[in-house]
Amino acid sequence: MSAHEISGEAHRHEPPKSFIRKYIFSLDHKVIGIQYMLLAMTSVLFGVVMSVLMRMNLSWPGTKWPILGTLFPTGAPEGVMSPEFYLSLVTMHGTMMVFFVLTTAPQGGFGNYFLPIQIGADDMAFPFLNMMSFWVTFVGFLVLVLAIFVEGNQTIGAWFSGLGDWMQGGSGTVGPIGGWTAYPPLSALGKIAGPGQGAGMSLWIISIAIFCVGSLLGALNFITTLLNMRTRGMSLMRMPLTCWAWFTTAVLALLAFPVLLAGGILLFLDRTAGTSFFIPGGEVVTDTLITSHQGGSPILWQHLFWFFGHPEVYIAILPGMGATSHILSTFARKPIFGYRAMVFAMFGIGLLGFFVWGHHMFISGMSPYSAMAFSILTLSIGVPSAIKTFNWIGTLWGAKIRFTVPMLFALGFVSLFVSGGITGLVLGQTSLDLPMHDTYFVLAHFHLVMGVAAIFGMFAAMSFWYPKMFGRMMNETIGKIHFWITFIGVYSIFMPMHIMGIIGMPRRYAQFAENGQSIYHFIDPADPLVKFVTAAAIVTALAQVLFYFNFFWSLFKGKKAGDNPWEATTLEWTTATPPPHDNFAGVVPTVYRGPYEFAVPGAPNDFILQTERDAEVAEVDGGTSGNGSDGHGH
Amino acid sequence: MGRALGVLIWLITLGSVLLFASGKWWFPATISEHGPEIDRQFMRTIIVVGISFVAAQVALGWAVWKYRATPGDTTRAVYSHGNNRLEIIWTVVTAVVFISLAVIGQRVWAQLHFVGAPAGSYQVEVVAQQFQWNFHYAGVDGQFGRTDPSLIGSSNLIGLDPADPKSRDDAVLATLVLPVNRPVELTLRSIDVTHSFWVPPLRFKQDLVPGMAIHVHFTPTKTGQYELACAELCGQFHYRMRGYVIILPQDEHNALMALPPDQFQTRVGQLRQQYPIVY
Amino acid sequence: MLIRRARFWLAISIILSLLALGIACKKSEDTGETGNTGGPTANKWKPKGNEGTIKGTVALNGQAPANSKPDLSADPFCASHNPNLTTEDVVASNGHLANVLVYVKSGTTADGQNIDSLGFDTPSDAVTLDQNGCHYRPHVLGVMVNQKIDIKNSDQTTHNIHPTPHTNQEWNQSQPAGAPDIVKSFPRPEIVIPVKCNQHPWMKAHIAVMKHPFFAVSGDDGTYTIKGVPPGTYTVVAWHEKLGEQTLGTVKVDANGTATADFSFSPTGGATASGQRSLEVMPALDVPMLMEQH
Repeated sequence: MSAHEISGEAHRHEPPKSFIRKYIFSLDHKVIGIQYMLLAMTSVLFGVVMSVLMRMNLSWPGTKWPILGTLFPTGAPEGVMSPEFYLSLVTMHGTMMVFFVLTTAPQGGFGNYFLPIQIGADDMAFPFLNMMSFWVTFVGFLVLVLAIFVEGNQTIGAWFSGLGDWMQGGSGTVGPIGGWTAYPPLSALGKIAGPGQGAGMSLWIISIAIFCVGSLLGALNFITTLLNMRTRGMSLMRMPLTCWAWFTTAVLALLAFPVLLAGGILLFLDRTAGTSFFIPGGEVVTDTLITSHQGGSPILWQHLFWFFGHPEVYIAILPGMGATSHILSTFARKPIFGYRAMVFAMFGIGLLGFFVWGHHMFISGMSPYSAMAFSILTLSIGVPSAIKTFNWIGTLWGAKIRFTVPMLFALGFVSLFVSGGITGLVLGQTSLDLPMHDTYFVLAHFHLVMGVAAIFGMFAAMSFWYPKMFGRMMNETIGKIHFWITFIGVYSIFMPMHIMGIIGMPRRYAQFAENGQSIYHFIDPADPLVKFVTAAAIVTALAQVLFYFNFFWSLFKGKKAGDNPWEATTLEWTTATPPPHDNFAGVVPTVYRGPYEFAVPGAPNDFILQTERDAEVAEVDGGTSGNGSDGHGH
Repeated sequence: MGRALGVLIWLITLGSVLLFASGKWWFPATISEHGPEIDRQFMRTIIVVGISFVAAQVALGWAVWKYRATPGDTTRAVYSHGNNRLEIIWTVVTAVVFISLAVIGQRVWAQLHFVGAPAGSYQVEVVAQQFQWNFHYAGVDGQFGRTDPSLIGSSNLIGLDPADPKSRDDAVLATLVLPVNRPVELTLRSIDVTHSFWVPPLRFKQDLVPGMAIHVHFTPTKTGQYELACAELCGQFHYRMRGYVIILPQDEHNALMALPPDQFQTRVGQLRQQYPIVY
Repeated sequence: MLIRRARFWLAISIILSLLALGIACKKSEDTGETGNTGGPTANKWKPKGNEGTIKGTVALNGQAPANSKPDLSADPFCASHNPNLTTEDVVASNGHLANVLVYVKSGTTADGQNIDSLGFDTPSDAVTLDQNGCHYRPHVLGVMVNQKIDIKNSDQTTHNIHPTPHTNQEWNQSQPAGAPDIVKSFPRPEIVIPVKCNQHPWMKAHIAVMKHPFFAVSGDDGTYTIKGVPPGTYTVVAWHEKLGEQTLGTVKVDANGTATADFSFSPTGGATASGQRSLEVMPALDVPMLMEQH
């Protein structure tokens, strides 16, 4: 594994302009990783703004929001959000967040950057494929944004109708409507089924299909890299838990995304080619008898979607678990508790994750017998999750915790993962799904566990690896303020949502009152909670400005970071900061020990790098030992 | 920092527990035979959930409080790679608790879904459309008239065939009227997209899937008027796809059923005024 | 490295050109672009001052089928403001049929011009479609191509306007109480576009988009008047949403004269209404939930 032919330039942090010019179509896994992170940071902005808009409409329906009226004259005439506008926000918020944030940043972003370095490789196995996977994903993102405009603007929509009937022009709202799940027949029938079902929906499906392709390419690359490109001495059981997490995630993605891709193609054919995979016969929509479709099954889509959709939840959360384990051990200054158990639990979660998709469909009309099987399998998934929680707390027991920003977020992850995950015990039960299905209880559950916890994993990872990636530390004070507000904020948002769900508040409702009168009286008691949650959401969303500010400010003004500012043990901390183009400057690192050797009795320091030989341990000093820090410009 | 975080985690835990235990916000009182058992199962589950939640958060809070690094302290953390025995005990305990919960929870499910409706159940056909509930009553003859999608229009919402003699006494309303303490069998259909039948006090929910006629059954146990909502995204007016369920004493219900279709509708209108909405 | 770059750009350009090709092919297939009023614009019609009138009465021979009385309980506003609301499938009184669209279908003017070959100006004033008492007012509406339709909501409830045309663009927009008017127009002639409120299943309207201004809708007394018709001989059609179409082959309009064209419909409807019932519909899959009765 010698260094491949590269222009041996000294790798420094360069001004943004030339950076963009040079690195837009880069084959370097590190640049691609950062590109993924930037894509996620863009999408998450959209997603957060949309969620705040939704909260505003739920709390104050019918209010005129001045700027909205100018931006979306049809979706929000005179600034009053229409129900179709709200639902397209729901759809785009879900799609942006699940696909372009939770699937891209933890895996494509941090995984891309650090998996090769942590296993001692000079790049991914297939750099070209790696670049393609990002750019394919990026095209998917552009198509998704286009879906908003095609659906939302009649002029652009009409222009697209020139492509043929399947585009069906714009419906004049703001984007496709279908939630991130896009259940047919609603999503399959076309414009007749209502606003948001025209060209935008076609483009939504195309976008997701493109995204599937991008993720598949990425997953192949991750698996190959991890299996074939580990450096000398890096046995599987010496890998950092982050690598195990990315590997498990890649395996899940490899098996799950093709199913969604196939489903998406079938749905697209139903819309455009007159097939009937998901549309049954005898449909009457808007007083129009649909004669062109017969014999499809709406439930088939749900099976295909959730066969992907449930593993997708783990695709979002597993890298966060990996990062959390890694960071907890580092700042607890203590080896991870039960390394093997963590690895097996992670694989257990991944494996079981493929057998539980039916719990999204208990009341869908699926056989109630299979519902029972799915229910028991679902609750079994709580066992490996409990093992992980137990081991995280075990890691902290007897530790010497350093409360850095990454550590705070990692601890937040553990707390949120428990709070969000534990209610899976309720939702995984067939009988309790009868009152709970599609209420705010579900909303609270999955937002806490796959949304907020995963985001906390990303915040932890970002502040942890920022010095390695950019050569400067993020500001610690801003980071801490950001953590406290966000941590309290997300609990204030999502804890009350459980209660709303118990009251019976259904999700995906554009509003709960109209003309000053409530639409459903049984939801009335939830009203103060609704307002409280909105306030908390606005504060929490605003607090994220701190993160963005910190991110960009620290790029230029942050404290300079050494090669190993956290006194950590894994390979990325043995090389220069930022790492040279081929990661180890042509030197192949050799690994002699496991990844979390902290507080080893008798050792000179409380941490031992993976690259340190036993003989070396005695004479190690400070943070810059190992093979990587000198020997640039090979 | 460590102490602050520990205390914050405990406060959040306390707040969450209080929120759940406040008694101010909970399920609406149940009105179905299977409802109390669902509520009991929910309580069982929420107690397990609560205990696990509190235990994990308190332990986490304790760990960050107790094991913080203090300035000047040069001692190291405990060097330990874990404890297999603890690991196994913990795994077995959670597995037993979680899986028994799942198994216990199946009882109500089985009672509702693994057997058909008892003989003599009162039958109503539910036909959902964007964005209205239509309830098809069999009328005096107790037989449903033939329906045909090609007959559906703005004045024949479910496509009832006027040529079928059985359809003459049928009524189609936006209100569901059911007898109390008598098993009810609903046949759920949808003419356009997937909807979901959701009456919170009934503790019952079932999707209505186009192309399928799904039979479900339950027994209401309390009279009154209740709200019916759609729980599956069905399009722009999903949020106001509203219906009402009136549960009548059996004699009043029998009298209603004996009425011809036009008087039936008028009478249901009166009943809607007569019974206040319970929530 | 260079080879890799080249390969990449090759791939990108192939993908882009395929995309462009796809768009181009699709575009060329789409020949349905009918811009404005159809006929050659050179042949623009101008009134000469000798125009006549077509008027008449639309009769209903027999008892009108009863309109159904929908259950309004889902919308308290409709239930309280229009408690006796019925559908408006057939609105007739004393044998007079309302809501019939009468229009000149074809014909030649006295100076020998085919009416199809003439072009007409779009009126600048908008036509109003109001939602009032949970009904569309008017129920049947004629507009010219590109003429503005001003859609109002006079009710204190949320309405929704959903035209389902075949040759024009379909759209669907909700209009809450107090929302601003929605102004729309249709660029292609189409008889007749059904309009539905997806929120209130009984609410229907019909919009006829005409190439020329020679149309009218019968009132409650069954009468209609088409003014400003150039002298000539025309085929006049009366269209009703449920009872089908009636055609009068030769209606002769003299200069400054008034031609009478009376129509009569039978309550059982024309042949057209029943012609669409040939479809074999798959019976719904019957899923017992579950298994045999005990």
